[in-house]
Amino acid sequence: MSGLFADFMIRAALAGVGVAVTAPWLGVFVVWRRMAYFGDATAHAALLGVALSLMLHLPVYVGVAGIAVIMALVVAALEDGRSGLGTDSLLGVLSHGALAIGLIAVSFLPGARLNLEAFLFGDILAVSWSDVAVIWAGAIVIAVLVGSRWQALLTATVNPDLAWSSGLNPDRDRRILTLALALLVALAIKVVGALLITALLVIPAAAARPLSRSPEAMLGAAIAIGAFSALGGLVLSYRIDSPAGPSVVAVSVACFALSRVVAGFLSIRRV
Amino acid sequence: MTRLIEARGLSVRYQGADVLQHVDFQIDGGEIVTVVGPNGSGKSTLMKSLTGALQPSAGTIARADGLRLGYVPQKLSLDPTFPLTVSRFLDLPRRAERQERDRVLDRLGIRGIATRPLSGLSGGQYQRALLARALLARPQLLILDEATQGMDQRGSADFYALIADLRAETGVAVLMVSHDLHVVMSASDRVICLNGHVCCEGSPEIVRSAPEYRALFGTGTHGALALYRHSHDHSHDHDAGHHNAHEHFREHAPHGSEHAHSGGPGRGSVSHRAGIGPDLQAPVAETDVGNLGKKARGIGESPGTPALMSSGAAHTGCDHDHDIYPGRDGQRVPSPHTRQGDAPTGKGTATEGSPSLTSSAPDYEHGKSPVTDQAVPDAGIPSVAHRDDALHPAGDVHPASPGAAGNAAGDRARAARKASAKIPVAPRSFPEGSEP
Repeated sequence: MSGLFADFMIRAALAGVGVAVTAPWLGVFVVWRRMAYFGDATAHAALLGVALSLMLHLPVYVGVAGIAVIMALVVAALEDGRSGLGTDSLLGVLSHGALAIGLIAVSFLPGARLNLEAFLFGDILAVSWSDVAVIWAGAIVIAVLVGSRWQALLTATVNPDLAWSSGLNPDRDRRILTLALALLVALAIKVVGALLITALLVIPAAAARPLSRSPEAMLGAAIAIGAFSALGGLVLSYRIDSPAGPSVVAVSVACFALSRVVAGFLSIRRV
Repeated sequence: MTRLIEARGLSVRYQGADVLQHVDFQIDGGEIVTVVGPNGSGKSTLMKSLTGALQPSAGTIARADGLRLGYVPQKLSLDPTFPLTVSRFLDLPRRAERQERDRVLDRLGIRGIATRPLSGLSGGQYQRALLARALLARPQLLILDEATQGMDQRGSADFYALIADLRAETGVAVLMVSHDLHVVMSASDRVICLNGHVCCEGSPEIVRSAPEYRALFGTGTHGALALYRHSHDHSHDHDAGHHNAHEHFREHAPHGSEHAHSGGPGRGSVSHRAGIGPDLQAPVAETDVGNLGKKARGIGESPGTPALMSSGAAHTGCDHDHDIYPGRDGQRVPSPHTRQGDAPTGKGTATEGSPSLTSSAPDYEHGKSPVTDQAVPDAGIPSVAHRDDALHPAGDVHPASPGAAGNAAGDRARAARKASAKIPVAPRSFPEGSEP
């Protein structure tokens, strides 16, 4: 292994693990609150953010986070039922609308067009040390944001009225969750790409479910599964020369299948 | 008495509809208040406004400083992917002291389920777990939103007995919501009938304190025998058929709280074509023991029986002065008008918050009427007629029924005609889902 090779593998591993251990903080709520479509819509909008960043010569993180926040706010505004559409249909419209418009926008940028695959599926082997720094800084912000509102978020997830009557404000906490999600999308776009961000949110949390009897255990298990998937995916990618982002997701899916099978065999009582 | 929450002129719009209009509400320390009303009458909206989940579109809500609420929701929207044991649930949103937690679990008799998943509990255990969580906040006010839904009658009665005990032990005020008159507990200090606005409000009669009721039903009937006193004396135009509560609500929406008032009790009004005039005391519901289905039907079809109340005011129940004596669990309730001459003199409309009628309970056994509402001479259909009606709900309730013909003066007969005129309407207006 040459020094250069080791260096980019280390950066890839650090970036991948950084995103993979951050996603479950939001992923558990995405699963508990059935927000997978919401995650999709926010993530797909990221492509538009990429195009915008390149046009305006901004850092990709800034454009993606900005567009993701706007998307999240639009969804929240339309979600109150006045649109006459179910939330899932509405999110389907917004999610794929954002993706299509993002693809068109990117196609007008000659340089970006060449890199389309990188934006859709990530290019973890191309991350720089500054990317790694941004990812881990963002990871800490997200963990602190969610961790500090953990009890309140759990209460509101169980029943929003419980939270209100306890003097909490579930609306504000949901906005915190939404902002954190937009931030995560920005962090993850270079690692797994716009199309696979939701996979990092949902799959490790879902894989952790049969192994957990408490919300905290589920978060911990999801983080462990996420980290294992990131490293395992990189190794797989190196061994069989597969694209890195999809390899990470594939390993997490294998973990999901394994946890279901193991839970079935051990008959772990589902809590 | 400490005022815990006070709402004045509360109006709430929810998803584009005026759900509550000009509601005045207050609850004091140690009170048990029950809000009844049909589905869609704004009960939950009122609760959400009081807890702060919904913002009023008009009016004010004042809470006591540092008010501690204990909220018991109807159900949890617990996704199966959410692993939550009872003991972890009790730690939401604040971690409970282990000792305190065990004490509450012991008190509610559910110590053994602490490690069980919340989703695997039976209805009664589940409701107690929710209650335990609420109690751990050391609340000054417990809010129970249809807490006994899905529980059988025995379970509901036990649960309400528990609530009453807790109030006695801790002095916690209790605000309960029900869409069903039959689960209104007898321990309520005050009952509020809600249908977009406060239709009526007053103290339920604690009849089970009467010795003859204990003799008949034992001491275990922690029942829901309540007296409703409709304190409104306004009238509405009932020409349009009332098919559901919302229709009623919408029709009155433009009135706001300033309803057109009739000339007062006893004068009747042409606008009450399809309803009992304000001068009528509602008759008594007599129900067959253990025959709930029949009970519901009978109620729906006999005039002035609890159906009027539980159907909400879908019809006259919400608008007129009459008292309703629901018989619950097959309790036979004697007519309040057995000897109208002996009825205590009227106190006018019910004064909210004061259990003014409790003292008259012992009079029951002497056949006296506990009714203190309105002027007695106007007090409606003679008892015999009522009893016939109630016993044969589907039968002919002709105005010239024996009771009316035999005992009534002319104006009473007219009153009885009015009552019978609404009979065909009542069953239609019985809202779906409100049958026990």
